[in-house]
Amino acid sequence: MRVDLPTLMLTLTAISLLLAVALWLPTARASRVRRTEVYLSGEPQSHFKLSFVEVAWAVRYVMQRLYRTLVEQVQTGMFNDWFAYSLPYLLLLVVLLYLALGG
Amino acid sequence: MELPVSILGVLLSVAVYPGLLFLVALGLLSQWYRRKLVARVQNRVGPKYVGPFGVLQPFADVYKLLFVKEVVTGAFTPIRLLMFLTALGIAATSSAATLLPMGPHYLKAPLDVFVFIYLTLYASIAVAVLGLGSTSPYPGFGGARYTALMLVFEPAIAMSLIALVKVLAPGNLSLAEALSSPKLPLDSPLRCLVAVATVVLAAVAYATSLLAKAMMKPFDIPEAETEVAGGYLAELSGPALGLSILLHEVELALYVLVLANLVVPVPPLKPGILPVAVALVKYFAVLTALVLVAYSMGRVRVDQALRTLGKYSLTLSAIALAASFLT
Repeated sequence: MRVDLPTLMLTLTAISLLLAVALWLPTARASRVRRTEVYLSGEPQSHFKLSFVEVAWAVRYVMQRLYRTLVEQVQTGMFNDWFAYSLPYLLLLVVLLYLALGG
Repeated sequence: MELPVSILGVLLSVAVYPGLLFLVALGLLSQWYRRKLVARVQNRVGPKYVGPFGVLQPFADVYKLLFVKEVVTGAFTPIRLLMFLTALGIAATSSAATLLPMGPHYLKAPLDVFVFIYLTLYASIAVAVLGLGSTSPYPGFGGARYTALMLVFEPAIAMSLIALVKVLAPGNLSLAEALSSPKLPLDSPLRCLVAVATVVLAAVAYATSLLAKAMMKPFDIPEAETEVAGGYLAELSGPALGLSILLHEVELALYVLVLANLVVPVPPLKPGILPVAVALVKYFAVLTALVLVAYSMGRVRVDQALRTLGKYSLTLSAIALAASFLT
C-alpha cells in the first residue's frame, strides 16, 4: 500500500506505542517486584550513593571515550587523518542538503 | 469502508506477519541456530533438550522468563519504566518490518528508508537506557559503553542502508521498492561496476556495524560477563530479562533479513511462499557468515572497538554513500 511519508511515520509510531502498551501491561501486571541491594561485587549498599553526580559521570565517561578516540585519531598532525574522520559527517551533510533541496 | 480494512491489515502486519510474531519466531529460531553453530565451532553440543535437536530451547527460556511471577531487581531500578521502553523497542522494530514487502499489507512511501532508520533507533535507545537507567554501577558501565559505540555504529548503519537503497531504488529511496523491484543499472558496464562496488562496501560497513549493534564478538564489550557482570542485563530478571532478550533477537532478525535481501537482491522479496522461503535461505546464509566471522575473533576494548568501527564502518559507509550517488 502506497502512502505519503508523514502518514507512514505517524501511523507506525502510533501503532508502535499501542503495541508497546499491549506488550507491557500483561507482563508488568503479572509480576510483582522484589527489591534487593544493588549488586556491588559484595560491597555493602551503604557504599553506593545515588545522585545526579553518578548520572553525570556516566555521560562524562561516554564523552571522554569519544574525546580520547577523536584526539588520538584526528590530532595526529596529518591532514589525511583529520580528513578521513570528517568525511562521513561531511558526506551526511551533503546528502541532507541534497534531500532538502528536493533530491 | 476501504480505510478501516487497510488499517486492520496494517495492524495485523505489525502484530503478526511480518511484524511481531514472525520476527519473534524467526529471532528465537536464529538464536538456536547461532548457539548450535557456535557450539559446533567450539566443540560443544549446544542446546539439546527441548524439542528436536534442542530447537525449542530459546522459546522455552523466554516463555519461562516472561511468566515468572516475581521480578528481582536493584533497590533504585525503575523496572516498570525500563520494561515499557523495552516493549516500545520491540514494537517499533515490529512496525519497521511492515516496510518489508513480505505480506499482503506492506507499506511503502518515497524516502521510507528514513522511517525504517527512525523506527529501528528505538531499539538501540532502549538498550542504552536499560543500562544507564538501571541506576546501578555495572549496568551503568554497560550502558555507557553501548552509548559510546552507538554514536559511531548508528550513523554507519544509516549511511550504508541509504547507499544500498540508493543503488537499488535510485528514484525515490524507498526500502520497500528496493526489496520488491530492485533496478540494477545494467545499461552501462561502468555504472554496473560502481553499483557492485557500492553494494560490497555498504554490505561490509553494515555487517560490521550490525555486529556492534547486536553486541556480538568482537564488539560485545557492553555486556561482557567477566568485566561488567553482564552489563546492561545485570539488574534484570524475570519478564524484564525476557523482554530484553526478545528485543535483541527481534532487532537482529530484522537487520539480517534486510541485509541479506539488499545484498542479494535477486530474486526480489515479494509476498508469497516461494519468495519468502528464498528470502529466508538468504537470511540464514548471511547469518551463518556473520556468526562465523564474529566468533572467530576475540573481544576488543572500547577504544579499540571505536577505532575499528570508525575505520571499517563509518568511513566505508561514507564512501559507499558517496559512490551510490554516482550510479
